[in-house]
Amino acid sequence: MQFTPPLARLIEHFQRFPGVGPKSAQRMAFFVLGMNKEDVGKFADALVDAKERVKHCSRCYHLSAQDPCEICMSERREPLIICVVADSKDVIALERTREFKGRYHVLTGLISPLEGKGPDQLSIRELLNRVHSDGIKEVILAINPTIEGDATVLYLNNLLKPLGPKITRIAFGLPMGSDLEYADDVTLSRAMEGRREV
Amino acid sequence: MLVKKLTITNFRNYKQESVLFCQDRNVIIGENAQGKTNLLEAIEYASRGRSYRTSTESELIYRGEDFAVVEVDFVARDYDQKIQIIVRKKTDGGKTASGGQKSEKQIKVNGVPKGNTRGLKGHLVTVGFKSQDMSLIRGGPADRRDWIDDIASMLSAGYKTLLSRYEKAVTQRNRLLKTFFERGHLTGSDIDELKVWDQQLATMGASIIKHRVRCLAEALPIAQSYQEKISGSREKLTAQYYFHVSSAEERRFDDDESGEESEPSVSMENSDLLAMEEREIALRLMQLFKQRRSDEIMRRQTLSGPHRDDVRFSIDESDATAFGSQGQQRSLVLALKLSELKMVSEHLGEPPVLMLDDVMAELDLRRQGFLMESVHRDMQTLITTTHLDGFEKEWLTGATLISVVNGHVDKSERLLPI
Ligand SMILES: [Zn+2]
Repeated sequence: MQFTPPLARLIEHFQRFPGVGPKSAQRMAFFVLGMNKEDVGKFADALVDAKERVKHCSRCYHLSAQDPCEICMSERREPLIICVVADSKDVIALERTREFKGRYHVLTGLISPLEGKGPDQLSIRELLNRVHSDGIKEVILAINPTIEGDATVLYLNNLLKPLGPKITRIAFGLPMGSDLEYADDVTLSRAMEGRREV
Repeated sequence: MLVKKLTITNFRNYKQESVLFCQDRNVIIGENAQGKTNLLEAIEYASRGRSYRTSTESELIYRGEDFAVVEVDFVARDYDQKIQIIVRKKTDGGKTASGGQKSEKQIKVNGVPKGNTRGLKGHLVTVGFKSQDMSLIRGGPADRRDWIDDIASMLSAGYKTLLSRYEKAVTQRNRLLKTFFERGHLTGSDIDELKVWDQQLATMGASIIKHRVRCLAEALPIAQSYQEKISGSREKLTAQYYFHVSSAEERRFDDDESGEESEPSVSMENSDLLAMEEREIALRLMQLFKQRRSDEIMRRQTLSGPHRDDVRFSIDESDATAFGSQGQQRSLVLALKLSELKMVSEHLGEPPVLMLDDVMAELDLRRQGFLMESVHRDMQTLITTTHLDGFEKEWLTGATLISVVNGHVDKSERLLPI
């Protein structure tokens, strides 16, 4: 005995979400059935609304309902420093620190042949154009130290260098409040590389 | 290091068994296929979290059961410790790449759950010598790479991570080569992209090679002195590092039929390579990538780099794999394994547990005698055998004899002086 088609279809949709298995998908679908009709309507509207209105900013590729996005439009932002990140979630994370006052460039991914992502699938050409035509002084690469992240950094560095800006990569090290003794070897050696004077 | 007790449930052909070991010589005796090696396998499994006999861990579980438990009580760094591993068949029934049933395991060291097999590292250290070890000389490049990588990851804490990052980068690069192959033509930006992976592989590869070369340089003099003692003559033992093996050699071991004949192998004396800077090695790798680019795209594979390298041993400047006599090859394997044992002991500050699986069959009486003599008296030794002929009376006196019959320890007794 299977679930009645409208319910089965809903479960299948949830199951396509990343990290959602058959059991969680069932739970979510049952939750939807338990919601009142008005809330279900709002949920459906939110899905369609987000899909229709959220777009990549045409300058920095950050996800926004405005184009150019709020950050690109802000007068208070230092225009000649760009922080390059893999995706919009990283922009939000960095914004929470309130440390960075420049603008961003979202690559929309990292170089990864296994996922079919090469430089042409990312917003790299657009970054080079920006750096060139806006006369960017500094490019900060805030990219994870994974194999794919390292490859992307090497690629960007090879192409950005001839354009003349200062290129830096954020330091990776130990999480605050953590213990040297429990850090893994790669984290420790990266932290060693990124050491600075006190 | 000392294994005091092994307790296994539903492991291989054992339903439930508990075996006590004495602190020095333990002889596990029984007919073939009774489960002698399974006991050593269980201990090695607790030590490394994987079995050298299978990559499908559900095979470790007794037929018809859903789980297996291995528990080892041991003494290391002067205190009582315990490793427990539970392997369970996965109920949602996926298959592994090789078609076996998927499984998952839970690891606890001294009661503390560990997320992965890395958590086992350095707790219980064993060095094994089994008849398959002859592949160190007679087998393919992968056998020798595995041997040296094992030692290197023991001597350097970051080596394993380095290797796995390197392997990921090779997988990425191979996929890129495949894309190029399918597209049939290369643009300038393709070359730029490939270069990035070349750079990554060259940097990590050079570091891997440097680790391996240092390891070999440490092992060689020790192995040479063993070799001299075994053979009773002065023979010079050297190692050559092969930057890549020729296609013909690769085919011998890889069943990879696609390759064209290409340039011959490039090798260097280990001692020369030791003197080279890591940066120079990286440049060399970059050159190799460049030279073989079209070949690599044709074959959709990264053909140079430490995942393809080989180490060959020479006795008096003649290649042991190609020209050594069987006797010489056996002596050399014994000498290399003993040098590994010595390096591990020095590194740990105490002897590891030595496990000898049916090696007596592989060694003649004189070499057996040498092996027994070289094994430190205060090193715990677990040895499997089908019979006691060939063991020195003196060596057996005081040893614990564990008889195994059909997945069961029949009896365990201490041999008294006769
Ligand atoms: Zn923007």
